[in-house]
Amino acid sequence: MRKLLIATHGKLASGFKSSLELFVSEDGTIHTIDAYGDEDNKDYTADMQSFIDSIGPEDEGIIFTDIAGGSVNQKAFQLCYGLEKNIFIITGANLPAILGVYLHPNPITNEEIKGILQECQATLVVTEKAVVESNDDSDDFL
Amino acid sequence: MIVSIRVDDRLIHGQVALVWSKEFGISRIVVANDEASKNEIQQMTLKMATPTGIKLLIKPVKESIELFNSPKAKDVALFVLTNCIADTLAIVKACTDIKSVNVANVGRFDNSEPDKKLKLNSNIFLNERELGALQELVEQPVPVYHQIIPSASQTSIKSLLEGAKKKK
Repeated sequence: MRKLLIATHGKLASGFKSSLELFVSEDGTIHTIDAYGDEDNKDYTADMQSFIDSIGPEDEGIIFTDIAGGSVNQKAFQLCYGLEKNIFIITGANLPAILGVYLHPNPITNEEIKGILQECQATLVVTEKAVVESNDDSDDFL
Repeated sequence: MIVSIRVDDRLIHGQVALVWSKEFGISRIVVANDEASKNEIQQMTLKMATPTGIKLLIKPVKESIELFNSPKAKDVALFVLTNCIADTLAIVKACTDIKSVNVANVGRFDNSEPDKKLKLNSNIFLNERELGALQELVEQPVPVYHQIIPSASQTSIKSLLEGAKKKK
């Protein structure tokens, strides 16, 4: 089973989950950690560890973090380092990237993840006046 | 062949681009909408919303019907977007090769009086004209259902209409 963990600075992770639910049915496989997200500022290490522990031999763990080199990403890397588990850590999370990976048929490979991320990187752009091609191309449409 | 007509007042948007186009595995989307076919700014945004690798055609409803009925369209899987039920009904009545109609998001942005609209569920709001069109649409020989995202279940529109009638 594919299990997803989104771990971010502040409430971005639970915000991502709320947005994801407009696109996919939540079936209990999407987990979030809002690190430093509330006043008591509690240590989230145990939550992250229990997600990692939940990844069995038949499972696929995908961890999305928000900032490359940020403390949350460092923590994920440290906790997963050296484990013989099928876990991918992806950083720079955005909605199309999370959806693209989450919706990809199971199992997913490292190369496939890279392909999805490359496609998503191409959509990280300034939205500006696009050239509108003529809209009478029905001849070669079919 | 039309794999599905989706009635969605946002036409192509996130749910369509990121989820449905993958679900159907189609490579061609037709937006059948008179206004969009004349509005250059809307055409730009529709093109932006179309995923890479998918061809988009924006045509008035009448011309779309001609395209759907052309011999070439027989072997090509098309995903069609309309933004109202009346347009959808016109297409369904004029074309035979349609697998399904998904009444997804309707009536929130149609500028008609909100209080006078019938709320079928949290995504479907019908003014009088649209309600009449929908009642006629469910009698056509095509499955008509409501399904926002592929992982959600399909709800029959006929049963939603019957439920709304009982409430009255």
